Amino acid sequence: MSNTIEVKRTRQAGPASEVVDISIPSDQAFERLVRDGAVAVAHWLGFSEERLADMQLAVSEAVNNAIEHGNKNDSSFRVGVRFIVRNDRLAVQVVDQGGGLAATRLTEGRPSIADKLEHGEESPRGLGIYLIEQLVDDVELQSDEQGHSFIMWFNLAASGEEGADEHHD
Amino acid sequence: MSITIEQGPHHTVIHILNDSVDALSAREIEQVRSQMREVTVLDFDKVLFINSAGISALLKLVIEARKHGQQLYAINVTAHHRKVFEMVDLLRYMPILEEEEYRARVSGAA
Repeated sequence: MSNTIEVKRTRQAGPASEVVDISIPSDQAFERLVRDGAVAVAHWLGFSEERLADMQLAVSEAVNNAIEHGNKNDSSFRVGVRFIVRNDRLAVQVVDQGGGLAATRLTEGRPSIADKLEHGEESPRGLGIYLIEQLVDDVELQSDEQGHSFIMWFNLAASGEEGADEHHD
Repeated sequence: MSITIEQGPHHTVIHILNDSVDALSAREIEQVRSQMREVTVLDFDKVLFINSAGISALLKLVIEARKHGQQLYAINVTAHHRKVFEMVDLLRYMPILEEEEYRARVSGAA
């Protein structure tokens, strides 16, 4: 089960009209599959190329964060990604199975590359989360003992030249 | 091989052939550190995607260049990647060269 990839599309009655689920093993080798899935959803929703690139990067960062910091690179865990089209917004929910409330948190401003360079450190912490905050319209983080849920919101009206209701089947 | 390297006595041009600069390609990018020269240019012409793991690999090249007083530049950067580099303040340490500037830098260092 841990090495399977699952993709499921469902139509739901009620406020969430369209849902696509992707589930991958917690391994960076599979992160690109989710990234490609994000591109497919963005095309289907008529995102502009720039908005598509923003979403692809934000989803990549959230999935990598779930693998590294949520599931702590334990490949027996999974990362679930749910794309939900709801009225004029797209929600992308990334869920890991790593417990612990403090493993992921939102940032406070831009991580300082300059400070890190002065001290010879190579990777400012929080760079991925900072990018997500810059690229999406809204972000929400929930944590409990079962894991973390990262929800990124994209306003469809601002995402492309076509209307939010003109989805491409 | 997802990287090709052109070298002169004082310059190196690193062509990244992988379409993603991410966690999977980061190690190979980091390994070019030993081949950097007085002027090093990273060519992103084939690159379609860069994330923070890839940016961390690029930062290692920035650190290496600063350690040895070398200059590091980027060419063929898409508008989206330019925006991302600006967001993380990377352009201060790895400026983007236009074609003419690139030719001048490489021929000046040759």
